[in-house]
Amino acid sequence: MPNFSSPAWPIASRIFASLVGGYLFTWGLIAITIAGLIPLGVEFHDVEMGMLMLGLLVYLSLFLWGMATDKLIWLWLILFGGGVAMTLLASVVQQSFLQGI
Amino acid sequence: MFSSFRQAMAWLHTWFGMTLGFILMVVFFFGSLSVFDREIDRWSIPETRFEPQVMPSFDEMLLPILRSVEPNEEDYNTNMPLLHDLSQGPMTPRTELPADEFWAYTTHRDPVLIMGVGFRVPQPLDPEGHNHIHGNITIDPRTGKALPDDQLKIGSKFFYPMHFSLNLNWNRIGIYIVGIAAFIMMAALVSGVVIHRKRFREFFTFRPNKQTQRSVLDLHNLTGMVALPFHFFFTFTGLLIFASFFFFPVTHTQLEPLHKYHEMVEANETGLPHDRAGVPAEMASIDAMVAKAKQRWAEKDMPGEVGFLQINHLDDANSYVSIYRAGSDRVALVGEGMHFSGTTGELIREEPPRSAIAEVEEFLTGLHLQHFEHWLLRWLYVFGGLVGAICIATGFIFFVEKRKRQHTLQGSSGSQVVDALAVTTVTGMLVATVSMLVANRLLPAEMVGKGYWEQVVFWGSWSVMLLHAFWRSSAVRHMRISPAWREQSILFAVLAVAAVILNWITTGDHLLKTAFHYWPVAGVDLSLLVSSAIAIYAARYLKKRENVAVNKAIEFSAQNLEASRG
Repeated sequence: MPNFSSPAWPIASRIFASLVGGYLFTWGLIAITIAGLIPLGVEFHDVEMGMLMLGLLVYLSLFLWGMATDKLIWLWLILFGGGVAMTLLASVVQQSFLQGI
Repeated sequence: MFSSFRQAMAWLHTWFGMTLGFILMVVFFFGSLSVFDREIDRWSIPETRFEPQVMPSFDEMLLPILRSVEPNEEDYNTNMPLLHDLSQGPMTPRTELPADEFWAYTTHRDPVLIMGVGFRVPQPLDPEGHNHIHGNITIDPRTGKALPDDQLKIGSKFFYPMHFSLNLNWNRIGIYIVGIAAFIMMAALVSGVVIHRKRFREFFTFRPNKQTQRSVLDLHNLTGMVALPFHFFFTFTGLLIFASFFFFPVTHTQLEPLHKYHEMVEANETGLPHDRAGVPAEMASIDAMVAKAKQRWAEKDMPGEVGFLQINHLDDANSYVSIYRAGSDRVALVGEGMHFSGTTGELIREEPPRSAIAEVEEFLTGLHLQHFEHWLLRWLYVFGGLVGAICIATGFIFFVEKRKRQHTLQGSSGSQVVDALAVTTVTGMLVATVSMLVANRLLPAEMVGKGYWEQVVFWGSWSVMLLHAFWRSSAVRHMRISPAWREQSILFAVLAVAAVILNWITTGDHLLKTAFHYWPVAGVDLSLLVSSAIAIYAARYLKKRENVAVNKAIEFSAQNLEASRG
């Protein structure tokens, strides 16, 4: 059983949430934007490249915010909740688009 | 937990920088060497010391050679069992795999011609996948003679991959480690600016004669700040180059169906067949297509030579040939691709003007990959990379200088370990690099597995430097400077001069000759000599600082002794 009151615990939780949660959120953002813009007729590689460039900067900002914020609960909720929601939504949008053609 | 944003950034900068900085040191140093990877190739394989050539006749010289290439045994043994569908019958023997794709690649700095064959897996498990077993060959384009494949291209096949993958190829783990380190580098740059934002002047202050801790921090801030745009840009574009396949492979995993759909739409638009027809067909003259492509480039006001040529769906009715322009006269990696029908030789498609996003992306990645011919800019890259290495190294030294007094009093060995690792990744890495070059000149060219032994020397000498650094690091615990810094500098200086002399003895190419006739080798030799001189200077300077530190350490022990006596 990990010792949750040890001083190492909050920092480990923060690093995990910022690195992994930030990654998940960025993944979801890239996925939902690509899946959402392709049906609107935007060129595939344009969205992909544009989102990869933007995604790297978003991930960096989320990571820095995560390392500094006081609101650890919000950090977990937004990054993991938002990340999972956008990722799932992207799959749904993709499926409904590909079925519709 | 942190009382301010600035404090959080300071924590992040210190601890992430201290742990991943060792990786970044390797990435920056070998990235700098990679700017001249082809020149280092020439140095290490003397048979290839001649001028770069344009791509020779494909029909007459390259095609017969490509037809004789066999699938690589290692690739076959690793990948064939993964790609082949056993339920359709036994695996096709290695030498009977049919060729599906031919390619040839040349650059303005590479006198040798690299070519390759993609062999088709006849009964694939996933018919939609990229079912290729590869076989590559390097030839002398003047004669068509194959160059021994066993010789390691130390520059482009060892130092360059070291830059982005640490040569750790198991499951591509090296690429991911470098990726995480690069991401942390971006975070370190931002947090570094945040830490010092209140005292902007500090960024441009250097007080070399103050105590070590102060002047090291000055140098850390100065190098970090002066090259900040360079460092941020290179880290960002480096991540971007690998992002779509490795770091955010969204369209290769989750959105693969959408990607496949797009490829189908694209194949319809471009008229380039996505699959083989399954009908055998004769190939038309490739040279005629090359001539046509060059004529089209000239008409578009960008005459040029062929850089990359690829035949897809070889010997099939659906075959097509893609010809790309050598882009060494511009930054962006643009190929102005022309695609011809393989059977009729007709131009099927000319790539249309690019969208704004594609142009930005090509410019960014082109700036990082630097395929262009611009020697001043190339040297600026080397210096930018080395300034980054200085920034990281001074970060380690500052970490040690700031804490060693406290660690000594607490009996902790933290600073000692960090110092030893810093020695290993700074001077130790230099010794390993130059040891590899010395081994390259000492081991006979015809030796079986020469490239393997060169790598053994590289990793072996680096390990010895690690042991040496730890062995000598006890000085740090006594508030002194570890003599390993100085000793490894001297070793590097000696080996670097030895490499230049050995190059002369084994090939007859000395500086007076190469400086007038063959700059790739002269450049490597001169860089080795200059580095050697800097290392000697560093060693002498370190000796002086060590003496100062000894006096201070004696004072410190005396104070300690008095304090403990009360």
